[in-house]
Amino acid sequence: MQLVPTQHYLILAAVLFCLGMLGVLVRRNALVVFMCVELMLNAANLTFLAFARERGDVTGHLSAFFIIAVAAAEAAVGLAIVIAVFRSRGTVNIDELHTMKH
Amino acid sequence: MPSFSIQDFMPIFPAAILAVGAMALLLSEAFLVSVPHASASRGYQAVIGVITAAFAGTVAFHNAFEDPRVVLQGFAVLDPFSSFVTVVVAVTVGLAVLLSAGFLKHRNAERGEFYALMLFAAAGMSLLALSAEFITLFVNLEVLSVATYALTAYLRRGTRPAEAGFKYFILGAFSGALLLYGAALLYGATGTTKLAGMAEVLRAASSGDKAWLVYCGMVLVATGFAFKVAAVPFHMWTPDVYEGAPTPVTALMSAGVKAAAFVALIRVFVALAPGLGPQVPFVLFGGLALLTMVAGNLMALPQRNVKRMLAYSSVAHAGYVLLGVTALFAPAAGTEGHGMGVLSASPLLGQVPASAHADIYKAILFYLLGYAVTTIGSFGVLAALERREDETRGTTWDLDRFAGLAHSKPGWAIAMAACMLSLGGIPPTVGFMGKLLVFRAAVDAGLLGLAIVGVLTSAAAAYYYLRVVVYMFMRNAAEGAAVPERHWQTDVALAVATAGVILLGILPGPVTAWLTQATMLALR
Amino acid sequence: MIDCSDFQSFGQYFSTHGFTDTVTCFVQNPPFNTANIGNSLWMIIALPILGAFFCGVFGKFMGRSNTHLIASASVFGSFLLSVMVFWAVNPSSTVAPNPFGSTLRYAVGADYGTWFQAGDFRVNFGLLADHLSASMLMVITGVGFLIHLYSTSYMSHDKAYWRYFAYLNLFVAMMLTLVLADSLVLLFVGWEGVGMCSYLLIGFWYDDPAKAFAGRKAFITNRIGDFGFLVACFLLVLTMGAFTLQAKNNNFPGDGTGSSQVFKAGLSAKGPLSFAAIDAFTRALPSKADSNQVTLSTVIDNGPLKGFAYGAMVTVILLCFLLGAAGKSAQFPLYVWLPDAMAGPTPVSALIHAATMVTAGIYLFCRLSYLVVLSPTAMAVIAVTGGITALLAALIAFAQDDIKKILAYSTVSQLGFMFMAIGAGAFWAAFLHVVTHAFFKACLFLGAGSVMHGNAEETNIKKLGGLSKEMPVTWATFLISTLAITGMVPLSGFFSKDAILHALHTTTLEGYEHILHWVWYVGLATAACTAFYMMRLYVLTFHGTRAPDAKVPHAHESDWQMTLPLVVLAMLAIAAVAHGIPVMENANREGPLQTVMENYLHPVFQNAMRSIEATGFVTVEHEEGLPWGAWGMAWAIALAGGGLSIVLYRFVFKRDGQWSGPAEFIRSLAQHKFYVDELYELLVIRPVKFVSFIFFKIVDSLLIDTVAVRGTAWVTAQTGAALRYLQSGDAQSYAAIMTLGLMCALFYALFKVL
Repeated sequence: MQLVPTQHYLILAAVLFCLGMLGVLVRRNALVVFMCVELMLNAANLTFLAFARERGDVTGHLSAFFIIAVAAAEAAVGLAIVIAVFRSRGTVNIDELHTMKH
Repeated sequence: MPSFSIQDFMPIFPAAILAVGAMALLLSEAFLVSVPHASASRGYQAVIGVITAAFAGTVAFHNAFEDPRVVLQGFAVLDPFSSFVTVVVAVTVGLAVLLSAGFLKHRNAERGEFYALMLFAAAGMSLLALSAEFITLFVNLEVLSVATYALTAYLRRGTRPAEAGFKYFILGAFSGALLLYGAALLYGATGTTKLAGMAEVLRAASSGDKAWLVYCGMVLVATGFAFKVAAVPFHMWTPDVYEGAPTPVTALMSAGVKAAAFVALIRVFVALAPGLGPQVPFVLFGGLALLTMVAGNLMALPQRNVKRMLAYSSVAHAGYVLLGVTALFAPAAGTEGHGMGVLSASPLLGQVPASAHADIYKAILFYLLGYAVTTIGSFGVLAALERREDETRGTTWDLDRFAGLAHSKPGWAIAMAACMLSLGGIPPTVGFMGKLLVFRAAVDAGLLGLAIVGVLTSAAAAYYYLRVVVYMFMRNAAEGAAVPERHWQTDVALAVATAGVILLGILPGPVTAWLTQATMLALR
Repeated sequence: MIDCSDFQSFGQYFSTHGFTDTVTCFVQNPPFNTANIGNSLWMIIALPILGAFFCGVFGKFMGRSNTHLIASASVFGSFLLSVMVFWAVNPSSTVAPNPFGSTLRYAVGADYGTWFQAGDFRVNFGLLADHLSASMLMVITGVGFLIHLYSTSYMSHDKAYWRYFAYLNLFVAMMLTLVLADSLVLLFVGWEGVGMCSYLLIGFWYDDPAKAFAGRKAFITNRIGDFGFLVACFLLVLTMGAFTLQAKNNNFPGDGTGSSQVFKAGLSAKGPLSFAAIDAFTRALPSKADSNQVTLSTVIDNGPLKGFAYGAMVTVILLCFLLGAAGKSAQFPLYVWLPDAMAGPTPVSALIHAATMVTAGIYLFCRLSYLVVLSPTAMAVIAVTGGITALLAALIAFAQDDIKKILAYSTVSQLGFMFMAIGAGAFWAAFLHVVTHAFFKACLFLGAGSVMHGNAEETNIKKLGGLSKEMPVTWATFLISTLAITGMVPLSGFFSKDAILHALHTTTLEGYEHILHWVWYVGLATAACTAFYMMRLYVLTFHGTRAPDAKVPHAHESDWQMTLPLVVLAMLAIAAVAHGIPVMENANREGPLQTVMENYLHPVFQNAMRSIEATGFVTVEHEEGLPWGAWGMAWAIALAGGGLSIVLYRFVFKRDGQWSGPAEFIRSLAQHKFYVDELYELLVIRPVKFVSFIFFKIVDSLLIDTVAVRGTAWVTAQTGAALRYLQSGDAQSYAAIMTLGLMCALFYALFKVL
């Protein structure tokens, strides 16, 4: 069976990572920005898995599980904060969050 | 089947104590508080927090005298760094809890979960300082981050806390993802996530086709840490988050998070630097140090908002620690490290000897301790002066609030003055000793240019620190200015911090002597 | 040499020997054990610190009289201890330990162990008192106590008197630290400490924005100075480090190997910044070219200073120290803060800004005399700086009408004199002037304070006048001090100033043969100017009729707490003359007679004098007998300047435009003489005032205030403000900047690897 070469996974992960980064930079909705960060984390996950598969090593798989758990915890707190923002301002548009500056 | 002895668990014992204390506080909120919103019944929570911190600190202090060793199959280490930082973190969190007690009571917001989050964050810091494996490191970094995100947005009055929490969260998660991606690339290059294993592989392998993976991975990891320690240009979140967060939390972030992140950064890079060209980490950290020292101080200069000023000052102080970190990677004489202007290095004695490295570690650790004590004291005074009435306005922390403080609250004014002198690096305070040790270490490593920039910027910084002192001692308070409330917890915390600032400044001997001995032992 | 072996008590000895012998033996035989006094030196500093603590913390609750008592008593206690130390350093059996070989004679000291250590750089906490420090101790605690006493009355109406006394006590403690330090590091602690107290006291009455700016100016100029000081220390450490590696055995006298080991052992025991180390370093560094030794012209072969000669490094170090000393001692171009510092309470001006703190720079150079004499270039620069400062300040003083401003510029000018003496290598003359100046200038300032106190805080001398009858004690003491500063014969100022002028006249620096001669002319001109403006101040304040626009019709004399210090200081200004008369034989019993001060300070400066003989950088022309000619000329100049001033301001110009006294007679003789006076005013006084005004405006206000002080601050603040606008408050732009930083780092890393 012809295996997909590791490079392909890595390139996919890199593309996902860059997409996520771009999303964080340009999207205006706080929730979408947050999802883009999740995309970046998953790109890292994919990289771990690709390398683990190449080497037949379990460390990468293990890492992926930990990252998923951490991402879940982060999501819980993150969504709570987004809700707090929405409550105090009635919007989750990042553009409007600049009370503190200079 | 791995077998662990009790010795393996000694290093994580302080963190475990902190976590247990935090859980006890959470449970107390669920079971022991009978009357809702009766803050009078919650006075004991701060006491539990302080006792937990003191207990953890004692255990960590005990650990500090253990022989350095690798524990838990190489996932963690017990060495002077981890023990020392844990002690610093315990002191910091203890004082921060004390400060919070008065702060929260004043706002009717005293809750067990606030203290619990602080203790969780402290546990994360302690564990971060002893992690020797990338996933452990990442998980602990997230433990402390998630706790501080929540703490930042804890107060729900006005738009600032939520905004600060959101900015911190988004940028923190972003930088966390960068670090993680870097870790993944390093894993790909070496096949392991343990630092010791990575170092072995990197030292053995000639720079082959995987070199670019290592380089990219290291840069990404460095970025992640640079965010946590607030190095320019990854510092942008700092002023906004520090301003919006409840002031005791700001104190905890600026003292504890920075110390833990620096130690983790040093641990990672000292292990992995052999995989890079000799010049790369030097230029990376040298550039960061230069930018951070200059920009941090320059941006603090025009601030009238003292809390923001302290935030920029926190950035600037990260620069001085980075100067010490740069000294670790200063290339030896005769290598290509010469002739890069400010960033050039010309060691006094050819190759930087191991004893010089011990001096650098000592300088960094002492600086972190000194900065932690000082920053707790200065944010503590700031927290004591805040009034909930003008929380939603931006003028709460204006310099004018400090006018005439020497008359109305001489004790606080003296504490603030001591902290400002210390931040400015003026004797006889711990800040001066710290700067002296760091600059001296940098010069010994040959970083003359950077050291001179450091001295110059800290001379310029004296201006904005002493401006606060001038306002306190040489201006009269505005008519009808409200006299802030006092809480004994705040007074105790401030007294401890001030005593630390001055005593460590006058008699740094015991601490530096211990650090010398411990770092020599660890490096051998 | 007097043999004191059979001395037991003053009376017993006096019955068998002459008075001079008895006094000499009396001061050489302290009636207490001197062995352990070094270990008690810390108490001299601790007392005023305790006083400051009690006044500052409990002063508010203790009430006025208790605060006064504690503050004054702590300084008086220090004074008593200082007297003991002063006495203890006299017998030749008194020695202080010295890890660099032979023990220090005529000194007491103690080392309290390691203070801190960074690598092989070590600083010990140690105190040392020799003849120089002991004399300074007496001046600081003695004058300090008098000023505390004076302040009890002067500040009696002030609300924050407890804060004032706490600061004042703290200042005394810091100044004592500066003087007792046995290393540059501890000296710097005192140096910064006195600066901080001075800053706090200048801004003591802070409700006035002009005073706030005065405080800021003092702060910034002193930071520039401190920067020089730190760079100098830094270079000194590097130079000594390089020397330690490069030195050959022949550099050290004796059998060679042993001494070089002693030097290295001492260096690691005491640290390179202790005075003993610098002394040992200068002794080991000769000037003559010798292939077996490292000399001043040898090029450094290791460390970051590689390629520079030792002599050049010594010059650079001294110039950096000069920058530091110029900041603290108000020398050109950093003198600008001192006149503005007069915003503080007057006793503060007397103690800090005239008698003690501002002489710290001179003390520093006296302490480092052995280093100073190794560089004729630095000496020439020091002398010229002193000359410029002295003349410039004297010229500016012409145009001032504020009594405290005139005294302030006069202080700057007199400090310039002291720097000239340092430049000529006449350290004892500089120090003699420090002592005499402390007495008469403190008296003048306190007198000015008394005048202000009695005249509703009026400081404009044109609005005073005729006070000689209303304030007799103030008048008499002010007159004595004025005569002392102008250099009238039987007073101390004459001898100290003349000693400086004499040294300038007879000394030649190698490579700069004519410079000291020019500086001498400048000194003479300055002396004449001093006499003129001081007499003007005196005449306008105390003589003539009371100005019509005075604030109060009749002045009142001050309390005894204020007049007693005035009387004591005036008497000291007379009595200090004893230091300046050449009656002593010098150590090797040949050549001209020495003054008491020169003889007394000989143990302190003997290494410098030995260097001078060895290097030949400085040559002093000795004259036989007493310098009657020079004395006569100096006296004549002072008399001419002062006389001209008296004639002009007492008899010619009248405050109210009316003529009286002898001028009435002149007017009755010829009305048109009036126009001659006008002409004189136009031709002489106006141009002088104009030049003085130009100096004041261009140098003081424009160059230093605007360009140097405000300019630097402005550029920095603007950069900071510009950077601030990057901080837009938008989280995404923050992320974008982070990404940008990441990209730069990634490109750099990939560029390195690919």
